[in-house]
Amino acid sequence: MSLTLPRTDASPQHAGTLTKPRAIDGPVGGAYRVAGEGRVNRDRPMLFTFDGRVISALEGDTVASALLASGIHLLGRSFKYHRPRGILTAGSEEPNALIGTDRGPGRREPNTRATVQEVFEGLRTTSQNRWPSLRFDIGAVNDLASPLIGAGFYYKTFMKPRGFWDKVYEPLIRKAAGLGTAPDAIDPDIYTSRYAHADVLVVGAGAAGIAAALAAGRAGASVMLVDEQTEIGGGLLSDPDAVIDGQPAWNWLAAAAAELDGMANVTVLPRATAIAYNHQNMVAVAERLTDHLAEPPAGMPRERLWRVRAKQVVLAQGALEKPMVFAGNDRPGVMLASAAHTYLKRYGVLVGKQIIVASAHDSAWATAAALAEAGAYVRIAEARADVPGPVRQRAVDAGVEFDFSMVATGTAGRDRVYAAQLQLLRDGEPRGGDWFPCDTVLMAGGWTPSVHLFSHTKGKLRWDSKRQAFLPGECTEACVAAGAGAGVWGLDGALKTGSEAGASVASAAGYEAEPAKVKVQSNCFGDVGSIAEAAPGSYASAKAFVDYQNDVTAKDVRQAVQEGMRSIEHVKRYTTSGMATDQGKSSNINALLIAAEALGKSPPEVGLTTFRPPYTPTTFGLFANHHRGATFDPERRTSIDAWAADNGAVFEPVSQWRRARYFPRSGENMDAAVLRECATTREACGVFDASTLGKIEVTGPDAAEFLNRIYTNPLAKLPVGKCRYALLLGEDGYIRDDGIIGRLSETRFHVTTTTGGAARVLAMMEDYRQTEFTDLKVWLTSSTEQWATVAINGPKARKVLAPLVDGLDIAHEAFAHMSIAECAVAGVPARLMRASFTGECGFEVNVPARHGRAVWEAIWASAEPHGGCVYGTETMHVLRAEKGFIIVGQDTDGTVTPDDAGLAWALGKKKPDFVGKRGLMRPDLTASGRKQLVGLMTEDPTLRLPEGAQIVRGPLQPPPMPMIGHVTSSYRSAALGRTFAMALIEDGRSLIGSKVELPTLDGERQSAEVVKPMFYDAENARLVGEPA
Amino acid sequence: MLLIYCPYCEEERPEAEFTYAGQAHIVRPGNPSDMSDDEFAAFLFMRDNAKGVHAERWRHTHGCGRFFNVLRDTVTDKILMTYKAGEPRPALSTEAAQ
Amino acid sequence: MSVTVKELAPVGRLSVRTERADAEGLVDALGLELPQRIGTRATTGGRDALCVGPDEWTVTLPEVDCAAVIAALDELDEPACAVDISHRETTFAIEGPDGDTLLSMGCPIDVTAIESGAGTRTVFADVPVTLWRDGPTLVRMDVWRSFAPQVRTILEDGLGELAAQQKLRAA
Repeated sequence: MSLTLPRTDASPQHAGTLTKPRAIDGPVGGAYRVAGEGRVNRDRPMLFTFDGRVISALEGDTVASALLASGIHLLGRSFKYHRPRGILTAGSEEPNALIGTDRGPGRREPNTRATVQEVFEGLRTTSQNRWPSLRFDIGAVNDLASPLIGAGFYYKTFMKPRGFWDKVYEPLIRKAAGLGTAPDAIDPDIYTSRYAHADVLVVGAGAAGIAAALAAGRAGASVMLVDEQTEIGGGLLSDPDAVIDGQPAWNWLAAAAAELDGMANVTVLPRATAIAYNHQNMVAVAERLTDHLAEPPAGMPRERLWRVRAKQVVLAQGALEKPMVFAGNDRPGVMLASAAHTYLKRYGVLVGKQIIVASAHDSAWATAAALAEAGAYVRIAEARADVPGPVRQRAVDAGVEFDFSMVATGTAGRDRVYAAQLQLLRDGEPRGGDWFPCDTVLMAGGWTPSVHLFSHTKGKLRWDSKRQAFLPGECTEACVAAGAGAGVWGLDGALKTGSEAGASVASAAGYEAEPAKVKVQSNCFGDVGSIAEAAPGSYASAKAFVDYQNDVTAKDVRQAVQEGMRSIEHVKRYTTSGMATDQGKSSNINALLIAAEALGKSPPEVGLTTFRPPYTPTTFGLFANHHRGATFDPERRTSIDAWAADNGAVFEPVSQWRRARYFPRSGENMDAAVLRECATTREACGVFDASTLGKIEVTGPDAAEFLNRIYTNPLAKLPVGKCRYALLLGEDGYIRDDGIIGRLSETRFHVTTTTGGAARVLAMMEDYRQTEFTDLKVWLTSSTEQWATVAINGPKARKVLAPLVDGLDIAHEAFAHMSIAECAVAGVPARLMRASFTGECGFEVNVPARHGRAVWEAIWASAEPHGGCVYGTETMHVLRAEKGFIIVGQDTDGTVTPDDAGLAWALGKKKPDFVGKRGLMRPDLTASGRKQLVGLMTEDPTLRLPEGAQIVRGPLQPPPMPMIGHVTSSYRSAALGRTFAMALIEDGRSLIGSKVELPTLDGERQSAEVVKPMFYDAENARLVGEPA
Repeated sequence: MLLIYCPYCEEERPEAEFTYAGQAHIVRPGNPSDMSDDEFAAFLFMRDNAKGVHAERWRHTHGCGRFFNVLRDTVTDKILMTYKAGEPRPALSTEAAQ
Repeated sequence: MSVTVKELAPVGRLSVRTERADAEGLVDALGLELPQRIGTRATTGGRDALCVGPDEWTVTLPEVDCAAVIAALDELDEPACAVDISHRETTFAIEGPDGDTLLSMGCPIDVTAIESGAGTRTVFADVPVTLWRDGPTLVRMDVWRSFAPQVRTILEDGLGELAAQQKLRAA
């Protein structure tokens, strides 16, 4: 037999653009296009490039079908051994044919399955994992070394010497490993999401899914039908010769599609993959919106994540064909029989002209007949001793040659198979045999039901030994499996079980439903047989691949068992079988069968690895959704924020808020600006936006008693019009939050919290209100955003504010420190507090938020003539630290008690109970040696200690030396003319007056004296301020 | 994402509206200061680690704002029953337990 | 594209709390009867009350009336109180046949199941919101003021998506 193979690929060129397409070789649509076959649109030819070569395609093609139509089988190199690889499948389970696509800047995607990517005019694609070129690849040396790179290679090899890892092994592995190259620009695409609610979700729109959707839709249920392919139909798209209800299959399909389209209660989503099945019938569906378009409209998202909550789910995912395991089963030109069938019947492409079919299933015989009818020479090597008469007859009629009890055991060829070794089975062992020339080898190892989504539900799978497959067993969710995915073979069964499933779930959802009766007159898969009819052979040398994508061979699996792996989970991790991006869709069952045989156990005893979401590779963009760029996380801004931005503020994030950090004047860096703001505030006055402070309005007849129990301080008798600094503890006795509590009336309090603690504190109070202190009539309302808060601090604060206040005398005596009153400020109703976080005379003006900016501007207009300034959070931090006031979360870390922080005075010791009182009595909290908050003064007054610096007792000892504490706050002080710090140190208060040391990262040390944490105006004389 | 029946709103709502709030039926003693260190430690630190049915609290934070109790199977992650705060832990009927 | 998003003018808004919605004097003080089931509303003379929790209502009313209602509730024998939250929130009106689709881009609940004249608290794109359905194709959404820009951006992105989809369908 003479063998002439067409020229399969040209020398690769650098990716070009298609602005001026060059002439292409051969006929439009490719030389392997078969007249009269396929659903591709012959009136809409298009061009795309593969490694720079211009390829002719037809509308409806995938990259894989178009390349095959041009006779191109070599698509890339494998992951580990860099072996030439082609196209194995015609679907999303493809492990081999991974390509790069390029749709413009930032839109380069690696590892796209050529079997899924639709061709559009101008699409640019490249092969992967090869250097310098696809035909000549240096990494292929790994293939020669493959005896050395078996199972567990990485675990065993890169262990020693230890120092080699960073410098040698890792860079080497990183360069050699990986599939494709990651994009190098930010993804410019938009990703979106929707929630959907349906009575019935049908996953998979093959015959079973369509029948289910029709039955449920006709009953009136709201139905979503999703399918990963470009159009609904599933296997029917490859079976135009089937006859359903007397109609050709594609006519039946068109009518069904039209009927579904016409039902207002039915939504059909093509290009939509159900990727995850979560609790209570929440199914995640990834819909691809623009990857098939040459020019998507502006604003169109690339993908949409659907979160579908369905009352009932029908799983009609179908089945995937298994490869056979034999030496050289990975060569370009070796593919699944079902894929060849699909390329012929759906895309009108003949995958080869001289075809060997290694079969263990009836379906391969129909494929062989179809290929022969399309003009190919076809020879079947059937592993079984016989096949049913009608199956054989059609092949005989088409001129197919065949042998029984014959298996493929090897292939030859480099970039394309050119011969296959076929051997006869005697007593189960292959013997003798011969090499047969060919350009294509098809494998039909039986079918594996797709139980992935069912597995996501933690539903139990049961092993069907006759079908050699796991099938859906006991359900944990409201779902029904139908068709081939449930192990039902043939079109008749798919339509019947689909329709029954649709009717039953519609009934369960409360509709009256009847399954339809559909009669199948003929279909390509035959009416008889089961999913798998013979265990696929594994007549294996080193190059018999089980997992194509991770380059795992049958020998690796056996070796793993030999080396002691007993569970399939261990075999999987040791060999990496099933761990690639295809999740072992085509390999898991073969790996299991080989491992089970090696272990001498039945497959269910060895177990199946767990399928995890997502079903197919999914973009990060889809998961990230709107959580990127400007909408990554809400950036909360106060009503005064815009003024700060207009006036040159530098901002910092504080929890979700954006806060002005400082207001530099020209030429100032942060240090200079903060020193100026601090000095101005202490000398004249400073104005500060404190709106982000959490605020809670506590109301009701028992409000005072409630706060008395929640906070440490005695609050029950707080007079109306007065404020108190208050500490909030957890039951464990540690500081959780602090703030100021002001009493507005007998039944109404204005409570402030830290900026970051607002939501947490309110939730904690609600918990006690609702579940512990249920005897109290009290209510809590978040009022953080109701109020804009302007703090004015400094000796001239009263002078600034007084002219703006109506209805209140704010003289020192009339409105004492720690008072609260309602009045008007700048003509706006206000809650005015006299309180100070700086040690200066201070006021906090709370006005309804929409008036915030106007009132701020009025206050600033009044402050500026007095030589005042505006200041930000950095100056606020310095000024409070000079007074030793803590910031919860900075000077505390969740393990600091009031006593540790020097705040024992805030404990209402006479109160019978408050949250945390008992906790404070815990032995650990009363023991000596606790870290206490103290001040630190460095020997060098210009030296600012880094926050977080560790503290040791001096003089410096050799490491490891015991660390006795750390710096919590550290600043330069304008008022002190030097630096200062606060620190938590073991028994710190007993060390006051002594020296400690702080080792620095460069091996030096700094020395500091421990002092009281009160650096400025210890007598609090400055709280009085100047008279108005 | 779970669907949780809020006993106050009297409807099933998505988990996104709720916040988990720890083990249920841990009652704060009337006067904690009377407790021994061991008793207090048990109240403060000790929690069940049930394999199976666990009584826990959730809050319908972005709905009615209420804390309530949930019986959830930690093996299947299925919610078996919900009931209002302050109500005793109900006995599960065999049907619900399954 | 058949949906519009509009930020509404400020309105008076009170958080009203009581354990007894039927307490004496409450109707006079509020100017309406409080609905008793969570998610239901009562509307009278420019005032609209939504029951959001077992002891909690959100009441919208002319802003000038807020102070008087707060004071009137403080006088009642059965404890009840109101907190002014007029400035805490802003409101978007989402109007048109595609409004529910737009809301489905962020709301995990089935917004189509909210009946006209009802409302609920929920989340939109992880942000806490209150929805008020005023008609089959009109929903108001209250959002805390600092979260409004995030919500507005996501709604605008959604409008862009609906417009692009329409363009694609037409092509």
